[in-house]
Amino acid sequence: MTTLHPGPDLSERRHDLRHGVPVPFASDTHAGYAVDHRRTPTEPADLGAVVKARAIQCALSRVCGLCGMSMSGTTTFLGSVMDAESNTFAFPPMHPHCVDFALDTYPALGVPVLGQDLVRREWVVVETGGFELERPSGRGEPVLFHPNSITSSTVVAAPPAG
Amino acid sequence: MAISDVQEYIHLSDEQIEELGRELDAIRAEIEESRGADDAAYINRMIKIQRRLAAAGRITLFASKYKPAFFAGAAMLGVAKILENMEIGHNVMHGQWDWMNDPEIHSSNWEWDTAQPAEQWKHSHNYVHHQFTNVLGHDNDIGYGVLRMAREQKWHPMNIGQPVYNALLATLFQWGVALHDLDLEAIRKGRKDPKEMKRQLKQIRRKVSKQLSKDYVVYPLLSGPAWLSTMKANAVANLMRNLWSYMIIFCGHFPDGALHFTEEELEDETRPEWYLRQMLGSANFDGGPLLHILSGNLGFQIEHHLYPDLPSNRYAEISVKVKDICRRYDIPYTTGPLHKQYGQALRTIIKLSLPNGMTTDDTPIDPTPVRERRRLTDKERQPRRTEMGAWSTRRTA
Repeated sequence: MTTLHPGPDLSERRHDLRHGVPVPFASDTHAGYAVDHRRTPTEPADLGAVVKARAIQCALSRVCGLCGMSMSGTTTFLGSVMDAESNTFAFPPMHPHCVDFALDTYPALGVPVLGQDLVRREWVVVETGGFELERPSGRGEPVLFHPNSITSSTVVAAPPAG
Repeated sequence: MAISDVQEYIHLSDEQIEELGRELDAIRAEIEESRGADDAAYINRMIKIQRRLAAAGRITLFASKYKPAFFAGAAMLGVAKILENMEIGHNVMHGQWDWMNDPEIHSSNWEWDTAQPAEQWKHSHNYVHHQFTNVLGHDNDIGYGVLRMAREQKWHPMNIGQPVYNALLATLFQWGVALHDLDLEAIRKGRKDPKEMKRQLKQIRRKVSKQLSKDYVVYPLLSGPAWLSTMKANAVANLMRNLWSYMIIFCGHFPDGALHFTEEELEDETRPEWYLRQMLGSANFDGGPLLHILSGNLGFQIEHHLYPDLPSNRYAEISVKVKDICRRYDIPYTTGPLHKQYGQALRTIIKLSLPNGMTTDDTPIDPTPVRERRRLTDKERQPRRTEMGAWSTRRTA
């Protein structure tokens, strides 16, 4: 039986004006704890960046890196083939339906997205029960995630850019 | 004060801080590698005991018109609620058991037996409290928004009522916690997003209705003629849990020796610095295995703050190693009997109801006053190590 997931609720996410897509929660400097909701962001979003404070918030609060809502059910990571091989992900875990939305939306923009510093053609979807959070060992270093009970790992080709 | 200025570890060189971080990383790696069937059996056993205790309590309360049944039922239910909140719910929601891949015993799915929705707890506690531990202006656990708990906090005439607010907070603890993530300070300053506040209030309303109907409607009705005594016994069980969880939580960060910090440098602090802040901002209490289980192993508060997502049943063995690290690096390891730790927290509450000028500071005297406490100069330090540790050799894609 196929489980039908509703689409992600991205109504709270601001949109990137250049690409016309929602800015992922984990990439948005204007989201999350201690951000004054009255302040209007002036800087453009970097869709490839992962904001350290948001990544830690996602890990500790168990919220999705894309929609920023509470995780439920399966914990899913999305990354490059290299990320999967090293079991090290830069982008926080997401809902399965948020991963589907992210794969349909971001790689086609032809810019680095979702914690990657290069444009990726192949992505890996990893489902896991849990993960370890790796806090930055030095200044300026990223927050990283290591899935610890993987149930499936699937390579997915991204839709062509354009 | 930035974390790098804290007197308790200013005597450490950068290399020593990095080495300390590596030692704490190694403890984590050891537990990650060794956790398995015994740990899974532990949490499953705890859940089984808790559910049997709750069922026995509820059944006994059918006869709650008789005093022995009233007290026995209320006590069993109270202990079951304490176990559920402290050793099971709190730790499951930290993700301590996610590695088991059990859909029920999982941080994303567990909903606990208290008024605060799990989702809000995971924000206010797992993120805000654990990330900004004892950082003034961020960690709302410092006095829960109603008590002045640090001398650095400005005194206000309203603080005179602290002993009374404290008694009310202890008695009504689950309701105080239920409102915790609303962040009353942010609401007062107009910083809170009204849409988010509405969403949270709706969640709280739903959870509160569920809790009230369970303890004060459904189970009393099931007790038939004993409905009123069952309702009273349920209130007693909730009160037991409130007082106990309040006391345990206040012993975690407010005894003498647990430090407060300000927000400078937090965004970019390194993992070893984060470890240090957790160690210096937390306090343990001593006791036997039963006391530790009933307190959710939060008697090992220092170890819990260092490794909030490692299984709680391993904190006792971790504590031996952490204590040794603290001794070798000359870092305070704050601990003492439960009554002493709570007594100190209570004394702080009462003292800080008055302005600073009218009371004395209870910060412990430096345990090693003869040692020169200052940062080493570049010339005095060993050359920086060039090899890379396990954490930094991982590929970052």
